[in-house]
Amino acid sequence: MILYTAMPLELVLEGIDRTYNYKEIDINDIKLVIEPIDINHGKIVRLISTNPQDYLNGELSPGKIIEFKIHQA
Amino acid sequence: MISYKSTFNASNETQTPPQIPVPPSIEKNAPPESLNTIQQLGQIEMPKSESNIHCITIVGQIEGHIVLPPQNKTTKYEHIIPQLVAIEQNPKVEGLLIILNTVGGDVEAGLAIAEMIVSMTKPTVSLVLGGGHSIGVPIAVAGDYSFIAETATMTIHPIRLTGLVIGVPQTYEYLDKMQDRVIKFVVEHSKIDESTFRELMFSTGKLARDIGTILVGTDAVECGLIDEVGGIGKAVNKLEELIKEKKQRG
Repeated sequence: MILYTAMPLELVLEGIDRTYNYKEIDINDIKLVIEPIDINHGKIVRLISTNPQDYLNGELSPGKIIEFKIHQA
Repeated sequence: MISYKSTFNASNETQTPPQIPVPPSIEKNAPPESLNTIQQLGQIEMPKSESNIHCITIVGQIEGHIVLPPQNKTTKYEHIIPQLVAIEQNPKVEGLLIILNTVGGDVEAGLAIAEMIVSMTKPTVSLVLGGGHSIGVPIAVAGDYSFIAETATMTIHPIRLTGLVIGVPQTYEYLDKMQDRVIKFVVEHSKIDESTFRELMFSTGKLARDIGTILVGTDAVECGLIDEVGGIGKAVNKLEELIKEKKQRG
């Protein structure tokens, strides 16, 4: 990786060795990589979908916090 | 005590919940759920108006192959690229506005975004607001027309290697190649010539800690890197103009 940035590298890379606890979930056949925040909330990290229009959906954009609910069949 | 309690209850019962009068025009068009929102939260959902342009803001670090630590604000290229595909393909979207306030980031990711923007058939206008530094430069020039705010800055400096560096000539050749990719892209997609850009990149004495140059607003336009000094109004107008031109051409 080459970082081409005007910011001092020690600032950018501080804490790079942090470990991540990501989980993959499916919502309406769209795969989401989320980072759990607490027992029923998670933050979207990444969206994996082959439909490009999904990426224009603000509800699925990275950084959005989603709530997990008990699934009622 | 008992009598007091009963009168308290009675008076409480006669009190009607506060009613917020709803103007007839809203009542007619809005579905019942939005009425509930007004009464419960004092808010109404804005009527959805479809815009024929889409706007992508590229802020903070451009994140590439490695997830950056959370103190960085990042723009993720794996999200921007499919968004560009969607914009290109969606018939409702006629133009794209790219707003930049970035400090740079991953070379590969930045160049990938820039190449995507260049190859779009829909009109694109870019606007550099706070700053468009380092790898932000190729993205800024990638649009059909570029603007820079009067006080916005662009830093042009050489690429440095990060991480483990093996001190062999090949390392420097590799670095040179990476740098040439950036230079070639910028020169091809803006009015700046290669010698001027290289001169800006390697000049000394203009940056406190580094070699390179900071271009502020009009400087970027004067050297041919950016097309015009302007803000959001000018940028949106230009985009609408380009959309109109494209429609006329058929």
